[in-house]
Amino acid sequence: MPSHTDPSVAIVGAAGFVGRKLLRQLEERDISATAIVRGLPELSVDGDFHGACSAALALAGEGFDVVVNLAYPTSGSPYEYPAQDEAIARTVHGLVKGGGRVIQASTLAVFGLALDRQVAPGPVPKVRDAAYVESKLLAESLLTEQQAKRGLALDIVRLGNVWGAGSGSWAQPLVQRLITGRPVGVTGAPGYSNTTDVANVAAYLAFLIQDGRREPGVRYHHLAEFSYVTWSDWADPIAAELGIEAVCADPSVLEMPASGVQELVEALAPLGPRTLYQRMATERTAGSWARTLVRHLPSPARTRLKTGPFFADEPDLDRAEQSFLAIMAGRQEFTSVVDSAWKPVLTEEESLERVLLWLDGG
Amino acid sequence: MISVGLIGCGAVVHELYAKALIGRSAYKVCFVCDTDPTQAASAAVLFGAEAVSLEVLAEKAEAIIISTPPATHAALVRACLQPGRTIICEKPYMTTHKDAREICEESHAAGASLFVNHFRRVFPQLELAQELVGLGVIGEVTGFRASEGGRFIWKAVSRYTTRDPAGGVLWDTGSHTLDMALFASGLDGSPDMGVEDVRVRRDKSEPSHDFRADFRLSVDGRGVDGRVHVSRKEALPNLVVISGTGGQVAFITGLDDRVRLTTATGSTVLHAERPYGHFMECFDIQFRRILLADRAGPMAAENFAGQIKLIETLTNA
Repeated sequence: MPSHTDPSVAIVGAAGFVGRKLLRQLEERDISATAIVRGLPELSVDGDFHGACSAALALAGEGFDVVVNLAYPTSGSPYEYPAQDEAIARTVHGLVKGGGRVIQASTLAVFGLALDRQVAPGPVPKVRDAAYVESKLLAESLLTEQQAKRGLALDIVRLGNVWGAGSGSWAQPLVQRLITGRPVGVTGAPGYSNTTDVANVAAYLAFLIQDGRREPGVRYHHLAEFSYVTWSDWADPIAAELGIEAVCADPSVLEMPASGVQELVEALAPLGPRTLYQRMATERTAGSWARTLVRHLPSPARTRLKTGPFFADEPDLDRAEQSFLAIMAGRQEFTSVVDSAWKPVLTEEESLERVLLWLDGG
Repeated sequence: MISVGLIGCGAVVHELYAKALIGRSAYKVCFVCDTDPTQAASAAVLFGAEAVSLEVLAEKAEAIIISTPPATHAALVRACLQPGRTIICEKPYMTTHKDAREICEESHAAGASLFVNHFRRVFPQLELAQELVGLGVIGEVTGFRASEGGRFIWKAVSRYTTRDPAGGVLWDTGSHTLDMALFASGLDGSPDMGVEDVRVRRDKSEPSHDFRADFRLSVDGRGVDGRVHVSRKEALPNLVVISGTGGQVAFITGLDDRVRLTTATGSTVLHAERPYGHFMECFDIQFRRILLADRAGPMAAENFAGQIKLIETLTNA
């Protein structure tokens, strides 16, 4: 049995943004780890240190004391996400030894993308939400079931918005939005960024790997050391570096359907008479029927059909845009709940400095 | 109807060209060939074409599209040169400046029309940026910086991107990124520009997956500072910024219709007249322009010799 200081470690999903940084952190701490990746290892991880291999190859081995799971469904259709979650959970299950430990990287989004449900470091019941959110909730649930059956140690680490130099989810979109004049916030609603720098994420995961805890049970961690930083605190210096001013959207963009029924009504709205007529009018036979029907409509209705709208026009912003801006305006802080012995390796100032350097191509 | 022959039937043909070449009234893929018979057979079914040898294709097709790994381009273009023929070569055009120059000349001498498949040249924001710089809105160009990076998911059937020295990120993604910068700057028409003061950092020997460089171009007696960073490993800002004596234009590298123009009087975002819904539309437009001889000028091969010189110099630094 390996000692607490040198457990066998596997990183599932090691080729991603967090995975690469974690491998580097482990290398610096002289901790050996196996990187489980899809695709070509050469393009997935740096160097030979981690003996990158596929899940199939790793599953044929004797198993690992600690399995860190960073993988989650990222491709294919959202309706396939549950099947992908189950496949990832099976891989983790196959990789971890009896009495071993699983560290699951989860997300603050289990409380809603814009953090619109009450945050608490404990189990979260399944709810209907965006595909990504449901997927992360399912992953937590599947691994918790495994933990209960096998008496594993399970650490669910809910990460804040993982930002930093090279962040394709936050730093890159902010830069691109600033350059193209799209809003990066909502007027009068400076939201908490609830961010964690990827370097700190890697450091915390490495810390957990090293702490040697193996007691069966589920432990919840929330990591967002920069939760208090507002999005404008990040965006404004980037804008200044680019020599431009950040644009904010009108608060009305945050008006979204409050329930599934309202979402359905809004989805069906484009099927109203005007849209239906416009769609049918381009058809050969149906167009003829539509014209006949219109000719028999009373004049006021015909006018409305021509000039509309029968229903509200489609919003100027699509739902993805609205969701992004809702996150930018989020008013609930995702406070860190981490092991008290751990300290971030990067300060807010250092994190921003790295992003600005990245922006400049340095 | 123009009969088109495809040399190379890998991922780009199956995933991208098919959507832009099937069902067109003015041209049709009639012949395909590949060193891998399975790939050729698959493409033949896809296009309703005949899988033939390179020799037969080079003899029969009126227009030829070469989409093989970069190191093979020179020999294949030479094998296809015929009077009146249109040849479209996948980017990167060539792997040496010498070939890039010589093959242009050979193509002219043979009476063939040679183009390079740089479909981003029809991106609305790039056309707008090029127009603005050309109009002198930012004065004389003094420099540019360009970056593009993200998780690499392209699955080249030949795996040249990890095996071929000309399959590294600078040749692959970087040829797009640098072309956007050179085209927008109006520097693409300088085949023999000097490339000096080169400083390079890369993750490994070629084919590298993360490449950054600072350099200075010498064009018609003036210097233009350049900086590029391309990566298959990390997300980058994915921006091109062109600086001039009177301001700068900036745009993103993905399909878009906006250009940020900054001058002494302020900064504003301009929109191109014609946005496109999907980047496949750009492939379609590009093929139409080239095959139907409609505004194909920007894609003519002579516009890419300078780019190849720059990439070759940076690679060898």
